[in-house]
Amino acid sequence: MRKLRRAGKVGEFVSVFVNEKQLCVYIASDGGRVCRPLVIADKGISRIKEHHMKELLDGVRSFDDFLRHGLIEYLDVNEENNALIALYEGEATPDTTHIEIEPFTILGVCAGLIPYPHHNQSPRNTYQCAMGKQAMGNIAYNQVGYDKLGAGQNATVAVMSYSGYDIEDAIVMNKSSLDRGFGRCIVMKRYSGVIQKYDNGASDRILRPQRTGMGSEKMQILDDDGIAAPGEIIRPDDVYINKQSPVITRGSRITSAEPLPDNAYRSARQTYKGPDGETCVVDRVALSSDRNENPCIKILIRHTRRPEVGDKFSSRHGQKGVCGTIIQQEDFPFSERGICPDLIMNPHGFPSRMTVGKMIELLGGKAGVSCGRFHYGSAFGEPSGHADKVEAISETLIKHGFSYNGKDFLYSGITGAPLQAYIFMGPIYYQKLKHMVRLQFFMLAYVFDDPVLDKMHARGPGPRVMLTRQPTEGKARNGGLRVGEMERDCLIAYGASMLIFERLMKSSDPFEVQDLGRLLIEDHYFYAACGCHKCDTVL
Amino acid sequence: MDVIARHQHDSRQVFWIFKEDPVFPVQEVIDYVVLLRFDAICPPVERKYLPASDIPQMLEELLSTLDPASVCSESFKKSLKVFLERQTNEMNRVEHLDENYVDEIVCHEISGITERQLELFVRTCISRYRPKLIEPGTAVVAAAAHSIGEPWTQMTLKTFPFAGVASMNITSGVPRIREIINVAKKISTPIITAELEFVNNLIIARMVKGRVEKTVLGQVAESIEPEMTQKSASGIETVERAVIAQKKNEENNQKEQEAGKQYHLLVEGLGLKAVMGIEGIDGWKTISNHVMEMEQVLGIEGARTCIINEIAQTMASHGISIDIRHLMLLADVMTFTGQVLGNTIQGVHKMGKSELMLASFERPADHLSGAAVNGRKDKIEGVSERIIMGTPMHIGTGMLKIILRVDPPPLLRYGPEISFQFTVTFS
Repeated sequence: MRKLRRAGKVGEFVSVFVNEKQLCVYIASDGGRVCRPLVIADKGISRIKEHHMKELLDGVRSFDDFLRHGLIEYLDVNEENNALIALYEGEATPDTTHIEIEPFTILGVCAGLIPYPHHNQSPRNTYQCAMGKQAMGNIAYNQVGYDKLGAGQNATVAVMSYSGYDIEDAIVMNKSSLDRGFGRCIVMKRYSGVIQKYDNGASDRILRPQRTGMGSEKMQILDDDGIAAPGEIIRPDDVYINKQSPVITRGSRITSAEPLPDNAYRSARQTYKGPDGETCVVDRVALSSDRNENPCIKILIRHTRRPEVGDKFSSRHGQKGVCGTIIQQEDFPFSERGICPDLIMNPHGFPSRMTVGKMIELLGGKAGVSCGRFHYGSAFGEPSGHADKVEAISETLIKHGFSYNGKDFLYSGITGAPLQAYIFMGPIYYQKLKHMVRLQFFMLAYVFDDPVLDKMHARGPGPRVMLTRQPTEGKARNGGLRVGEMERDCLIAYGASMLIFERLMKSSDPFEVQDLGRLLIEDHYFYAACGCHKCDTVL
Repeated sequence: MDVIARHQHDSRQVFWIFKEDPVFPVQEVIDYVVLLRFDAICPPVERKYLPASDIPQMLEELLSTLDPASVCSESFKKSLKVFLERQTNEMNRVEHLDENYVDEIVCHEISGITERQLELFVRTCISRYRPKLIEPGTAVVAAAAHSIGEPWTQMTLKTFPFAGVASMNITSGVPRIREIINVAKKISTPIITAELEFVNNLIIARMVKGRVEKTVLGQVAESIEPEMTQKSASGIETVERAVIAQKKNEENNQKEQEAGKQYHLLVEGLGLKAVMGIEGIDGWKTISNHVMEMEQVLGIEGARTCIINEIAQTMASHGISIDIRHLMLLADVMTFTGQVLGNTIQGVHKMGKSELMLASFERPADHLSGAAVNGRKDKIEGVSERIIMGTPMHIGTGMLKIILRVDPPPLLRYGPEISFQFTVTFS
C-alpha cells in the first residue's frame, strides 16, 4: 500500500497504519488528520540525494516533485507510530524508516515562534503557545507586511532584583521608555446607532447640534450633521449622535409628506459612556444601512493605552508577569555605555522554570544588535546551522566589547555606585497580553463593554436587585462582590460574628419593619415577622 | 480542667477534653522555658538558694498565687512538679558526688535554684501555657471542618494497595472519606482486621483463615449438581476472602523482631461478630473499617473510634496528618446523639432542630412548607438561622452581649473616708 502511495497511485494523504496488537491494517483516507512530510529512508539511507537537492536549488524540482517521486511522504499520527524517525541524517540507523526534513517542523505555528525551545522545559513552551494567542499584535497582513506580523516589541531587559516590586514575576518598567511609546496599544470600540423607521411611517431623525445655550458643551464634537466628526476627542457624556425619536411610533400611518412638528419628537441622544479620565478619539465614522434598510451609523472609537501597573506582559518562554511598578529612568541602573533597560525582570523566575531558551535569546539578540545580522533560534537547529550556537554568539559578543556571558557592568541609578554583581542585560522580545486593568481614581466604575480588558471595579452603595433587595451582580451593573458561603464559613471559624453581621446583613439587605406584636390566630401560633432589633424570636 | 464544646443550638454538650489530655504540649512548654537559661536571665545575686526540701512547697504556693483560677490543667502542674523534682534530685546527686560532704554553697552554685528564679520560672511557664488554651466561644467545629476539609482537597482519587498485600485494594482518598462522612450503609471494601491468638504461627494462621473463608461445596465435593456449587460448606457467609498479612512493625520494634514475624488476618467482607467468634481469633482486638458495622457490633463508642481511626489512616496514607482533636470533634458531633449521623439530609435532620437551617441545607421548599403546616417553632440559636434572620451569631465575638446595669450606682461621697487617728505621746 505504501509503495502505491509513494508511486503516486494512491492519494498522498492516505495513511496506512499497521496495528500489531490487533493484527490488522488501518487505512485512513478521511479528511482532518494532521499530516507531516518526512523524508523516506531505506534502511537508514535517505532517498534524497545530493543531485536532488541541487535540482531543488536550481528550480528544476519542486516540493511536489519530491512527493510524486517517492522521496518524501506525508505521515499522520498513526503511521508515525510505525515509523522510526531520525532527527538528522547522520543519526540514521539501519532501522530508520524516515528522516526529518528539518527538526523544527515538529513544532506548529505557535511553538514555532519560540526561540531555542529545545533549551526550555517543555511546560514552558506549552504556556507560551497559549499566551502567544493572547498577545496584542497586528490584525492583518496588510498592516505591516508579510513576514512581519508583530506580536510584541524587543525590550532591553535587565535580569536583576530591583525595588521589591518585582516579586512573584512582576516586572518593573522604565517610565521614560513608556513615555517614548513602549508597549502602547490601541483599543478600538465600536458604537452604533440606527435611524429607525417605525411601522407608522415615522422615523428617527438626526438634528443639527446646538452650538449655544444649555447642553451645547456636550455637543462640541458633533459635526454640523449631528454626528461626531472623525478626529475629535470624545469624553464621557459627550453626545456622539444627536438623534431624536418620534413620540408616536405606532398606530395609523402618517400620510402627509411634511415633516412632523418638533414636539412630536423626543430626544434620543446617544452619549458616550466611558471611564472618566480617558481621552478617546473618534477614529472613523461609517454610514451604512442595516438589514431592514434603515440607515445606521457606526462610530469607531480609538483609545491608545499606555502600559500601567497591572497590565500583563510576557516573554516568549511562558514567563508572564504583571507590571509591578513604573520607575523613572533616572533611578534605573545604567550600563557603561549609558544604556538603560526598558524592563527589569526578577531572576527568581529562572531557577524553577528552567527556561534557558530565554537566556540564549538574550545573547543572540545582543549579538544580533551589535553585529547587524539576524540570529536564529530554530528548534533543534544547532547541528544544521539553523540556530546559532552559543559559542558562536559569545564570540560575536566578545568581538564587540561585551562579555561572553551577556552580563554587563551596571551602575546604580540611585546611588551612582557600581552594582556589585554583573547583570545579565540584553534585548528580549516581550509581548503585551490582552489582560489589562483599568486604573481608576473614582469609586464608581462606569460600564465598559469588554470585561476582559478591564478588571478593576469598585462600588459604594449602589443599585439593588428588586426581588431580593440585595446589591446587583456584575461589574456592568455596578455590582457588589459576593461574600459567598465558603467565605461565610471562614468568618464563622474566626468567630468574627460582627463582621458576618455587617457583611451579610447591614451591607446587603437590611430592612426595617414595624413591630406588629404577636397575633394568635385560632389554634395556630403565628408570631408576626419582626425584623426589629429587640427580639430575635421569630416564626 | 475540662473544656466543653457545646452544640450551637441548645448548648448540648458535645464533647469534652478530659483532664489528662495526652496530646497537650505541656512538656514542650517546660522545655522551652528551660531553654531560656534562668541562671543567665535571673542571676542569683543574693545567693539565697532554696534548700531542696522547700522547693515543692514553694511551688504550691506560687501556683496558688499565680494561678488562682486554676486555669492550668492538672497534668501541667504535675509536669512542673516532676521537672522540679528532677532538679532537686540533681542537686542531691551533686551533693553526694564526692565522698566527703560537698560544701553546700558549691553544690548550690552548680544546680541550685533561688526563690526568685523559681518564681520567674513558674510565672513564665504559666504565661506561656495560658495562650495555648482555646478561648471560650471559639468556633471549634468550623476550625475542625476547615482543618479536615482543606487537606481533603489535596488528596487524589487513587486507591492504594493495602499494606503491602497484593491485590487487596481498599478504597482510599476522597471516595473513602466520603463513605465515612456520609455514613454509607454499604462501603466498597469493608475489611475486618482480625488479630490472631497465636501471632507467630503461620500454620495456625492458615487454619484460622480456612475457618473464616467461605468454602463452597463446589470446591470440596467431587461431583455435584451445578446448582449447588455456590453453596458454602463452612466459613462465614458474608466474607469474600481472607488474607494472611504480616503485621507492620510500628512500635515495640524490638520485642516483635525478637519474636519473629507476626501475622494477622485481613478479612474482606462483613460479619465482624462472626469473625470475632471464630476459634483462634482474638475477639478483643478485632476491628472492622466499616463504621456502621462497628456501631452494630461494638456500639456507638466503637463507631466513634472507628471514624477517627479511619479518617486518620486515610489521610495518613496520602501523607497528610491532621491533629487528632479535629477528628475527635468530628466523630463526636457525628455520634453524640447516640446514632451515627452522616452529612446527608437525614443525618443533619436528626442532629438539628432548626427548620431554617435545614431549609438552607437542602430542599428548602419541603422544609419550610412542612414547618409551616405543622406550626413548628424555630429558636433562632444556630449560626445559619441567625444569619438568615440578620442577627449576630452566638459564637466567637457574639458570645457576649453588653448588659446594662439597671441597679442604681453607689452614691459617691466626696471627702476623706479615713478617719484620722491621733496618737498622743506623753513624754
